[in-house]
Amino acid sequence: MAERSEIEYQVTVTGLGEATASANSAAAQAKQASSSLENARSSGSMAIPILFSSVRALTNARQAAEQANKAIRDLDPMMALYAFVNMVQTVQALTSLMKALKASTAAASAAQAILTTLAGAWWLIPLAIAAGALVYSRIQSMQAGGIVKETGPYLLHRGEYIIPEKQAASVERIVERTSAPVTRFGPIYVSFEKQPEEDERDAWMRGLEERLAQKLRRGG
Amino acid sequence: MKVTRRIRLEDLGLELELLPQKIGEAAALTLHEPWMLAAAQSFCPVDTGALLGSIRWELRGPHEAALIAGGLGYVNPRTGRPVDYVRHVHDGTSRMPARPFLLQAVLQERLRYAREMLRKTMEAL
Repeated sequence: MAERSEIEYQVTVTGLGEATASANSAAAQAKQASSSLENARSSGSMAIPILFSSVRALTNARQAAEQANKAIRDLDPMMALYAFVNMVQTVQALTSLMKALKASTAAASAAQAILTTLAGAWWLIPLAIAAGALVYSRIQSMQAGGIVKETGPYLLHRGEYIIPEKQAASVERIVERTSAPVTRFGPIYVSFEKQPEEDERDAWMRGLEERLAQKLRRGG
Repeated sequence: MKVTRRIRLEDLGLELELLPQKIGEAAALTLHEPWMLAAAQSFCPVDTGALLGSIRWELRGPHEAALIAGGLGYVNPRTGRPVDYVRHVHDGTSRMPARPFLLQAVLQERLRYAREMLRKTMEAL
Protein backbone atom coordinates (compact mmCIF):
# COMPACT_ATOMS: atom_id res chain seq x y z
CA MET A 1 0.00 0.00 0.00
CA ALA A 2 2.84 2.32 0.94
CA GLU A 3 4.50 1.65 -2.38
CA ARG A 4 1.35 2.78 -4.22
CA SER A 5 0.71 5.79 -2.03
CA GLU A 6 4.04 7.55 -2.71
CA ILE A 7 6.51 8.21 -5.50
CA GLU A 8 10.25 8.00 -4.96
CA TYR A 9 13.07 9.13 -7.23
CA GLN A 10 16.41 7.70 -6.26
CA VAL A 11 19.41 9.96 -6.83
CA THR A 12 22.71 8.08 -6.98
CA VAL A 13 26.20 9.35 -7.78
CA THR A 14 27.60 6.88 -10.30
CA GLY A 15 30.92 6.56 -12.10
CA LEU A 16 33.05 6.86 -8.97
CA GLY A 17 34.65 3.49 -9.68
CA GLU A 18 35.65 4.54 -13.18
CA ALA A 19 36.95 7.87 -11.87
CA THR A 20 39.05 6.03 -9.30
CA ALA A 21 40.55 3.71 -11.92
CA SER A 22 41.33 6.64 -14.27
CA ALA A 23 42.87 8.68 -11.48
CA ASN A 24 45.02 5.77 -10.31
CA SER A 25 46.26 5.12 -13.84
CA ALA A 26 47.01 8.81 -14.36
CA ALA A 27 48.78 8.92 -11.00
CA ALA A 28 51.04 6.03 -12.01
CA GLN A 29 51.92 7.73 -15.30
CA ALA A 30 52.58 11.04 -13.58
CA LYS A 31 54.89 9.35 -11.09
CA GLN A 32 56.76 7.66 -13.93
CA ALA A 33 57.15 10.98 -15.74
CA SER A 34 58.32 12.67 -12.57
CA SER A 35 60.80 9.87 -11.92
CA SER A 36 62.20 10.18 -15.47
CA LEU A 37 62.61 13.91 -15.03
CA GLU A 38 64.32 13.40 -11.70
CA ASN A 39 66.70 10.86 -13.25
CA ALA A 40 67.54 13.30 -16.03
CA ARG A 41 68.26 15.99 -13.47
CA SER A 42 70.38 13.80 -11.24
CA SER A 43 72.36 12.33 -14.16
CA GLY A 44 74.01 15.67 -14.78
CA SER A 45 73.20 19.29 -15.37
CA MET A 46 73.98 18.92 -19.08
CA ALA A 47 71.42 16.19 -19.67
CA ILE A 48 68.41 18.46 -20.09
CA PRO A 49 70.14 21.08 -22.28
CA ILE A 50 71.42 18.25 -24.49
CA LEU A 51 67.93 16.80 -24.66
CA PHE A 52 66.44 20.13 -25.69
CA SER A 53 69.31 20.72 -28.12
CA SER A 54 68.61 17.34 -29.75
CA VAL A 55 64.95 18.20 -30.07
CA ARG A 56 65.86 21.49 -31.72
CA ALA A 57 68.31 19.78 -34.06
CA LEU A 58 65.73 17.19 -35.05
CA THR A 59 63.19 19.92 -35.70
CA ASN A 60 65.69 21.71 -37.94
CA ALA A 61 66.44 18.44 -39.64
CA ARG A 62 62.80 17.85 -40.37
CA GLN A 63 62.48 21.35 -41.82
CA ALA A 64 65.55 20.84 -43.99
CA ALA A 65 64.19 17.52 -45.26
CA GLU A 66 60.88 19.13 -46.11
CA GLN A 67 62.73 21.96 -47.86
CA ALA A 68 64.63 19.44 -49.96
CA ASN A 69 61.44 17.62 -50.78
CA LYS A 70 59.84 20.85 -51.97
CA ALA A 71 62.93 21.76 -54.00
CA ILE A 72 62.83 18.44 -55.80
CA ARG A 73 59.10 18.70 -56.33
CA ASP A 74 59.43 22.22 -57.76
CA LEU A 75 62.68 21.37 -59.60
CA ASP A 76 64.34 24.44 -58.16
CA PRO A 77 68.12 23.84 -58.08
CA MET A 78 68.92 26.91 -56.02
CA MET A 79 66.40 25.99 -53.40
CA ALA A 80 67.78 22.45 -53.44
CA LEU A 81 71.21 23.97 -52.82
CA TYR A 82 69.98 25.85 -49.79
CA ALA A 83 68.24 22.74 -48.53
CA PHE A 84 71.45 20.81 -49.08
CA VAL A 85 73.49 23.36 -47.15
CA ASN A 86 70.92 23.42 -44.37
CA MET A 87 71.04 19.66 -44.17
CA VAL A 88 74.82 19.58 -43.94
CA GLN A 89 74.74 22.24 -41.23
CA THR A 90 72.10 20.35 -39.32
CA VAL A 91 74.06 17.15 -39.62
CA GLN A 92 77.08 18.93 -38.17
CA ALA A 93 74.95 20.12 -35.30
CA LEU A 94 73.68 16.63 -34.65
CA THR A 95 77.00 14.88 -34.38
CA SER A 96 80.68 15.60 -34.93
CA LEU A 97 80.94 12.32 -36.79
CA MET A 98 79.27 14.01 -39.74
CA LYS A 99 82.26 16.31 -40.26
CA ALA A 100 84.03 13.52 -42.07
CA LEU A 101 81.05 12.93 -44.31
CA LYS A 102 81.11 16.51 -45.61
CA ALA A 103 84.34 15.78 -47.47
CA SER A 104 82.67 14.46 -50.59
CA THR A 105 79.40 14.98 -52.37
CA ALA A 106 78.60 11.29 -52.13
CA ALA A 107 79.22 11.43 -48.41
CA ALA A 108 77.07 14.53 -48.12
CA SER A 109 74.27 12.68 -49.87
CA ALA A 110 74.72 9.86 -47.40
CA ALA A 111 74.60 12.43 -44.64
CA GLN A 112 71.36 13.69 -46.00
CA ALA A 113 70.02 10.14 -46.04
CA ILE A 114 71.00 9.64 -42.42
CA LEU A 115 69.56 13.00 -41.54
CA THR A 116 66.28 12.18 -43.21
CA THR A 117 66.11 8.94 -41.30
CA LEU A 118 66.69 10.86 -38.10
CA ALA A 119 63.92 13.23 -39.04
CA GLY A 120 61.60 10.26 -39.25
CA ALA A 121 60.82 10.82 -42.92
CA TRP A 122 62.48 7.69 -44.27
CA TRP A 123 60.55 8.02 -47.52
CA LEU A 124 62.53 11.20 -48.26
CA ILE A 125 65.87 9.34 -48.46
CA PRO A 126 65.91 8.88 -52.28
CA LEU A 127 64.73 12.44 -52.74
CA ALA A 128 67.49 13.71 -50.47
CA ILE A 129 70.13 11.78 -52.41
CA ALA A 130 68.67 13.13 -55.66
CA ALA A 131 68.85 16.62 -54.21
CA GLY A 132 72.55 16.14 -53.50
CA ALA A 133 73.15 14.90 -57.08
CA LEU A 134 71.15 17.74 -58.56
CA VAL A 135 73.12 20.31 -56.61
CA TYR A 136 76.41 18.67 -57.53
CA SER A 137 75.55 18.90 -61.23
CA ARG A 138 75.08 22.63 -60.79
CA ILE A 139 78.46 23.18 -59.13
CA GLN A 140 81.07 24.44 -61.65
CA SER A 141 84.80 24.01 -61.48
CA MET A 142 87.50 26.65 -61.89
CA GLN A 143 90.30 24.16 -62.31
CA ALA A 144 91.33 25.67 -65.68
CA GLY A 145 91.50 29.14 -64.14
CA GLY A 146 90.20 32.36 -65.65
CA ILE A 147 87.57 34.91 -64.82
CA VAL A 148 84.38 33.85 -63.06
CA LYS A 149 81.66 34.73 -65.57
CA GLU A 150 78.62 33.70 -63.50
CA THR A 151 77.76 34.03 -59.85
CA GLY A 152 77.10 30.64 -58.28
CA PRO A 153 78.60 27.74 -56.41
CA TYR A 154 82.01 26.50 -57.58
CA LEU A 155 84.02 23.43 -56.74
CA LEU A 156 87.46 24.61 -55.69
CA HIS A 157 90.57 22.52 -55.35
CA ARG A 158 93.45 22.65 -52.93
CA GLY A 159 96.14 25.10 -53.98
CA GLU A 160 93.87 27.26 -56.12
CA TYR A 161 94.09 30.97 -55.37
CA ILE A 162 91.08 33.27 -55.14
CA ILE A 163 91.48 37.00 -55.80
CA PRO A 164 88.83 39.48 -54.62
CA GLU A 165 86.99 41.34 -57.34
CA LYS A 166 88.57 44.71 -56.37
CA GLN A 167 92.08 43.42 -57.02
CA ALA A 168 91.09 41.39 -60.03
CA ALA A 169 91.36 44.36 -62.49
CA SER A 170 95.05 45.04 -61.74
CA VAL A 171 95.83 41.33 -61.88
CA GLU A 172 94.06 41.17 -65.22
CA ARG A 173 96.29 43.98 -66.62
CA ILE A 174 99.42 42.17 -65.55
CA VAL A 175 98.16 38.97 -67.12
CA GLU A 176 97.36 40.78 -70.36
CA ARG A 177 100.85 42.37 -70.50
CA THR A 178 102.72 39.18 -69.83
CA SER A 179 100.63 37.04 -72.07
CA ALA A 180 100.43 39.56 -74.99
CA PRO A 181 101.65 38.32 -78.43
CA VAL A 182 105.37 39.06 -79.14
CA THR A 183 105.98 42.03 -81.41
CA ARG A 184 108.77 41.26 -83.78
CA PHE A 185 111.34 43.95 -84.63
CA GLY A 186 113.91 43.81 -87.26
CA PRO A 187 116.02 43.33 -88.99
CA ILE A 188 118.53 45.11 -86.72
CA TYR A 189 121.58 46.55 -88.44
CA VAL A 190 124.75 47.03 -86.38
CA SER A 191 127.50 49.23 -87.64
CA PHE A 192 131.02 49.64 -86.17
CA GLU A 193 133.11 52.81 -86.41
CA LYS A 194 136.24 50.83 -86.78
CA GLN A 195 136.76 47.36 -87.85
CA PRO A 196 136.79 45.16 -84.70
CA GLU A 197 138.85 42.12 -84.22
CA GLU A 198 136.99 38.94 -85.12
CA ASP A 199 136.97 37.50 -81.53
CA GLU A 200 135.95 40.86 -80.09
CA ARG A 201 133.09 41.17 -82.57
CA ASP A 202 131.69 37.70 -81.74
CA ALA A 203 131.75 38.38 -77.95
CA TRP A 204 130.03 41.72 -78.43
CA MET A 205 127.28 40.12 -80.57
CA ARG A 206 126.72 37.38 -77.99
CA GLY A 207 126.17 40.02 -75.27
CA LEU A 208 123.89 42.09 -77.45
CA GLU A 209 120.93 39.72 -77.09
CA GLU A 210 121.00 39.94 -73.30
CA ARG A 211 121.38 43.72 -73.32
CA LEU A 212 118.40 44.14 -75.67
CA ALA A 213 116.18 41.95 -73.47
CA GLN A 214 117.10 44.04 -70.41
CA LYS A 215 116.32 47.26 -72.27
CA LEU A 216 112.91 45.93 -73.35
CA ARG A 217 111.98 44.80 -69.82
CA ARG A 218 112.77 48.29 -68.52
CA GLY A 219 110.59 49.82 -71.20
CA GLY A 220 113.47 51.11 -73.32
CA MET B 1 32.37 24.61 -16.53
CA LYS B 2 36.14 24.86 -16.70
CA VAL B 3 38.39 24.53 -13.70
CA THR B 4 42.12 25.17 -14.07
CA ARG B 5 44.69 24.32 -11.47
CA ARG B 6 48.49 24.43 -11.74
CA ILE B 7 50.25 21.42 -10.26
CA ARG B 8 53.96 20.65 -10.39
CA LEU B 9 54.81 17.43 -12.19
CA GLU B 10 56.45 16.09 -9.06
CA ASP B 11 53.18 16.55 -7.13
CA LEU B 12 50.84 15.37 -9.84
CA GLY B 13 51.04 11.67 -8.97
CA LEU B 14 50.10 12.29 -5.34
CA GLU B 15 47.33 14.69 -6.34
CA LEU B 16 45.86 12.15 -8.74
CA GLU B 17 46.05 9.44 -6.08
CA LEU B 18 44.04 11.65 -3.74
CA LEU B 19 41.51 12.46 -6.44
CA PRO B 20 39.15 9.44 -6.02
CA GLN B 21 38.89 10.01 -2.28
CA LYS B 22 38.25 13.72 -2.75
CA ILE B 23 35.60 13.09 -5.41
CA GLY B 24 33.81 10.66 -3.08
CA GLU B 25 33.86 13.11 -0.20
CA ALA B 26 32.67 15.94 -2.42
CA ALA B 27 29.81 13.81 -3.76
CA ALA B 28 28.66 12.91 -0.25
CA LEU B 29 28.77 16.54 0.88
CA THR B 30 26.92 17.75 -2.19
CA LEU B 31 24.05 15.31 -1.68
CA HIS B 32 23.30 17.10 1.57
CA GLU B 33 22.21 20.10 -0.46
CA PRO B 34 18.32 20.09 -0.69
CA TRP B 35 18.19 21.67 -4.15
CA MET B 36 15.97 18.95 -5.65
CA LEU B 37 13.59 19.24 -2.71
CA ALA B 38 13.25 22.98 -3.21
CA ALA B 39 12.73 22.57 -6.95
CA ALA B 40 10.10 19.83 -6.48
CA GLN B 41 8.22 22.00 -3.99
CA SER B 42 8.24 24.88 -6.46
CA PHE B 43 6.85 22.67 -9.26
CA CYS B 44 4.25 20.90 -7.12
CA PRO B 45 0.58 21.93 -7.68
CA VAL B 46 -0.96 23.24 -4.42
CA ASP B 47 -4.54 22.95 -3.22
CA THR B 48 -4.54 22.16 0.48
CA GLY B 49 -0.75 21.97 0.77
CA ALA B 50 -0.87 18.32 1.92
CA LEU B 51 1.00 17.02 -1.15
CA LEU B 52 3.53 19.86 -0.95
CA GLY B 53 4.09 19.07 2.70
CA SER B 54 4.77 15.40 1.88
CA ILE B 55 7.76 16.10 -0.40
CA ARG B 56 10.99 15.13 1.30
CA TRP B 57 14.67 14.53 0.61
CA GLU B 58 16.15 11.46 2.32
CA LEU B 59 19.83 10.46 2.40
CA ARG B 60 20.17 6.70 1.96
CA GLY B 61 23.92 6.40 1.92
CA PRO B 62 27.09 8.43 1.26
CA HIS B 63 26.34 8.62 -2.46
CA GLU B 64 22.64 7.93 -2.55
CA ALA B 65 19.54 9.98 -1.77
CA ALA B 66 15.84 9.89 -2.58
CA LEU B 67 13.27 12.51 -3.55
CA ILE B 68 9.88 11.33 -2.26
CA ALA B 69 6.34 12.67 -2.29
CA GLY B 70 3.10 11.32 -0.75
CA GLY B 71 2.62 8.47 1.68
CA LEU B 72 0.22 7.24 4.28
CA GLY B 73 1.87 9.25 7.00
CA TYR B 74 0.66 12.50 5.48
CA VAL B 75 -3.02 13.49 5.79
CA ASN B 76 -5.03 15.88 3.64
CA PRO B 77 -6.61 18.36 6.08
CA ARG B 78 -9.69 18.85 3.91
CA THR B 79 -10.62 15.21 3.37
CA GLY B 80 -8.89 13.66 6.35
CA ARG B 81 -7.51 10.98 4.06
CA PRO B 82 -3.83 10.13 3.65
CA VAL B 83 -1.97 11.67 0.73
CA ASP B 84 -2.21 8.59 -1.46
CA TYR B 85 -3.04 10.37 -4.70
CA VAL B 86 0.47 11.58 -5.57
CA ARG B 87 0.77 9.11 -8.46
CA HIS B 88 -2.40 10.43 -10.09
CA VAL B 89 -1.17 14.01 -9.78
CA HIS B 90 2.40 13.25 -10.87
CA ASP B 91 1.73 10.84 -13.74
CA GLY B 92 -1.82 12.01 -14.69
CA THR B 93 -5.01 10.07 -15.34
CA SER B 94 -7.52 9.77 -18.19
CA ARG B 95 -9.26 12.86 -16.78
CA MET B 96 -6.24 14.79 -15.41
CA PRO B 97 -2.97 15.86 -17.09
CA ALA B 98 0.39 14.76 -15.62
CA ARG B 99 2.24 17.24 -13.45
CA PRO B 100 5.61 15.47 -12.92
CA PHE B 101 7.02 17.85 -10.33
CA LEU B 102 9.54 15.31 -8.96
CA LEU B 103 10.89 14.37 -12.37
CA GLN B 104 11.17 18.02 -13.35
CA ALA B 105 13.12 18.75 -10.19
CA VAL B 106 15.54 15.87 -10.78
CA LEU B 107 16.14 16.86 -14.41
CA GLN B 108 16.61 20.52 -13.56
CA GLU B 109 18.99 20.12 -10.62
CA ARG B 110 21.16 17.13 -11.54
CA LEU B 111 23.74 19.27 -13.41
CA ARG B 112 23.91 21.62 -10.47
CA TYR B 113 24.88 18.69 -8.25
CA ALA B 114 27.54 17.58 -10.73
CA ARG B 115 29.06 21.07 -10.88
CA GLU B 116 29.05 21.37 -7.14
CA MET B 117 30.79 17.99 -6.75
CA LEU B 118 33.55 19.15 -9.10
CA ARG B 119 33.89 22.48 -7.28
CA LYS B 120 34.09 20.82 -3.89
CA THR B 121 36.64 18.32 -5.22
CA MET B 122 38.89 21.11 -6.49
CA GLU B 123 38.53 22.94 -3.19
CA ALA B 124 39.55 19.86 -1.28
CA LEU B 125 42.67 19.15 -3.36
